[in-house]
Amino acid sequence: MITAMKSSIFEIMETMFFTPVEFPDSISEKFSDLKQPDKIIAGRLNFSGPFLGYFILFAPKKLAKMLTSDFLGEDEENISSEQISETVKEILNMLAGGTFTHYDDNAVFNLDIPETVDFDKAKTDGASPVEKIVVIAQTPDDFLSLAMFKASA
Amino acid sequence: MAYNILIVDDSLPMRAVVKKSIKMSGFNAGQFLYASNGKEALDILRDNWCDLVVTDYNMPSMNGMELIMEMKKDETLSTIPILVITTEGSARRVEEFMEAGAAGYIKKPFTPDQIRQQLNNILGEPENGEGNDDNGDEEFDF
Repeated sequence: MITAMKSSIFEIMETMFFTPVEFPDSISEKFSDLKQPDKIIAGRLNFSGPFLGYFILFAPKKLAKMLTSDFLGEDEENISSEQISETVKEILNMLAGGTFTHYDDNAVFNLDIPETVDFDKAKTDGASPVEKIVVIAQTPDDFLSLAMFKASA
Repeated sequence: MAYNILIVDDSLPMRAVVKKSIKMSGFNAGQFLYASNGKEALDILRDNWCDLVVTDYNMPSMNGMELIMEMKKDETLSTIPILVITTEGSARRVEEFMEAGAAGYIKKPFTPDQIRQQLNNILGEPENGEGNDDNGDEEFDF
């Protein structure tokens, strides 16, 4: 699953955002906003299928704004918080769909509508997961994190 | 001939990106119309002629599959080709879209080239000199 998540992140960032990514083992404290909750935007997407669970995407707000600007082809100063929120949800939607396609092209997973959530709520809401898989991706500008929580087998 | 295109997606940025990709692909698009789910799309299609519907799958109220099925029940709307653009990429799901009557399928993420190829497959290759003129359409308004 971790390989599928990495492939999905790589493919989407390259194709839709022209942004190269690497997958480091840890986050540089000095460099990233990812460890500061007030500087983070989080999205959540529930899914069902061969197993149940949800994805959480954590992105620094500054990086989310840059990605939104790239995505829409608009200058950063013209980007609204609504556009950022909608783009983060769309990125999460693509990452989730891409992960499952890379994981098992024959399995059918149903994706719920993505939503943006509070940083703390994102980490605590929902049933206790039985498995958590986290991928950290490094772009030239900052890190982002995609986590998958398997709620049941 | 310029084609009127209805883009159906609950994501505002994705609607803008699909429109931008169609324009970048060089396809001869006329007017763009927008809906955020299948129900809105049906309302628009009953009042406006569209040459093509480009729809997402995963939307609230009425998803892309339900939209295809509703359109296929309607004598007039059943003739309008439907291109599905979605993250739902499993082989079985694609098969379901095509069996329901979709004319084509593109998985997100996509490139303008993939869009052009699908549009040419569905609506035919543009004739020489026929391109996407700037039709004065306003940029997508959030």
